[in-house]
Amino acid sequence: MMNCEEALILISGHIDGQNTAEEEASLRAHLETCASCCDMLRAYEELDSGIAALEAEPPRELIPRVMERITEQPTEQKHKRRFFFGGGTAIAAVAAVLLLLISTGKLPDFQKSKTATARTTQSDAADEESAPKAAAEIPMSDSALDTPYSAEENGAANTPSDAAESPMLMTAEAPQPDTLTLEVTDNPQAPAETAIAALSALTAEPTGEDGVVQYRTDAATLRIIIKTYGDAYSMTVPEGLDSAEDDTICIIRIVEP
Amino acid sequence: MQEELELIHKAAEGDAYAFEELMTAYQKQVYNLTLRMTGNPEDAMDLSQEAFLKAWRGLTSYRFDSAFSTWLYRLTSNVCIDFLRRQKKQKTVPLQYVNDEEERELELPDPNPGTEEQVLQQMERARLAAAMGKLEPEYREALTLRVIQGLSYTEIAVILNIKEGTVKSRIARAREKMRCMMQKNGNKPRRPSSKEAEGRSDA
Repeated sequence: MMNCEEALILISGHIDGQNTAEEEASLRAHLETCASCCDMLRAYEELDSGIAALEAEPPRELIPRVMERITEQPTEQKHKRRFFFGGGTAIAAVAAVLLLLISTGKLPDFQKSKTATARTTQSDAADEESAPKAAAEIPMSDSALDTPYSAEENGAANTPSDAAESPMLMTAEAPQPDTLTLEVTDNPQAPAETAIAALSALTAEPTGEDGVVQYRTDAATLRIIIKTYGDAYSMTVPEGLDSAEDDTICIIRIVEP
Repeated sequence: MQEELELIHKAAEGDAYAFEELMTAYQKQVYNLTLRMTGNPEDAMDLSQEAFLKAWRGLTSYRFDSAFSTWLYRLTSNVCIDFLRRQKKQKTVPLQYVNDEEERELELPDPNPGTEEQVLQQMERARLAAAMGKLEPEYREALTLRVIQGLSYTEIAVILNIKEGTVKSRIARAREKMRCMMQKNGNKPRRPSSKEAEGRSDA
């Protein structure tokens, strides 16, 4: 004979329609003689309808927000066309901003000789270094350049059919211990990611830490950013930056205050 | 089903708009699991986004060996468990606090204040939500997947990676805990009178 404790499990199973025929029979027999378990059954049924009524509609912004992040971030997947759909406009915007800054003399003097060379997608080895999305003219010293950057905004130019990996592979790995890292404390009034033009051309990597994004760039760019924006933002400059080669890979971390 | 397979394939190849369609189909499930596990809409929103992003990035690892919904639920479940673990480590915010938020949320002024019946229903919902929040995560999760998502014991067993027998007993225990909590908090009698039972049969 079943006791009430055992019956409870079967009552629960009965509500879920998950009892075997045997279990149902045992339960029925028990319920015939036990008023208190009959009450339990009713109580559980009521509870169930109450819990089911807790179901909520998801907020309308849920999908749009995910889509925003999907279409701005590259994936590790083969098909790149969709990704560049969003990229074209970003490149145009950045180019426009830079031209404006150049013409008003706000940017430091740097070589402009490297423009207009269509950027060929080299194979992956070089890609670590050439991470920037390459619309902006990023000031580089003469010696360092392997891959010239293009100010082209034509999205099509960036999707040669033989494109191997995207240079913007989102590896999202933690920086190596010895990678020079510039830590920038953001200013909500003037977000660094918008203000620092060079960043607009780079791809943010998630760090898994709340309020922290990071970008991969090179030492030369890092130095210019420090020089240009060091007054606007609180920064922690990594030791060893002075002596680093221009093309040394560095990390910029933007941290919410 | 066939359509869904196509969408998954396209999305796995990088088609964001195919993924968008998948999200549309599953956002309610994902959101409600995160809502019950976190107890508040803000965290639920964050975790839902996180789950979908993880799904997007991890689509290539979906092997079609289980239903897509199962895969997605499991992913979402892991996101929730991680979140709860982090929360536990970071601060000693009792779950109570988290559920008070939701209670407040539910009590926000209604454009149509409604009848006394509706007000009572709202309060009841708040109490239920709070009680669910007090359940241990594994009970809360099993109960949510069964009662809100309507999944079978078999599906739940796969998602949570436990035996079906464990699912059955977990749900039974969760129900019993809920019943006790609801009894304590409210002035509901242990035995609902048949009249009361009739009056509350609307959901």
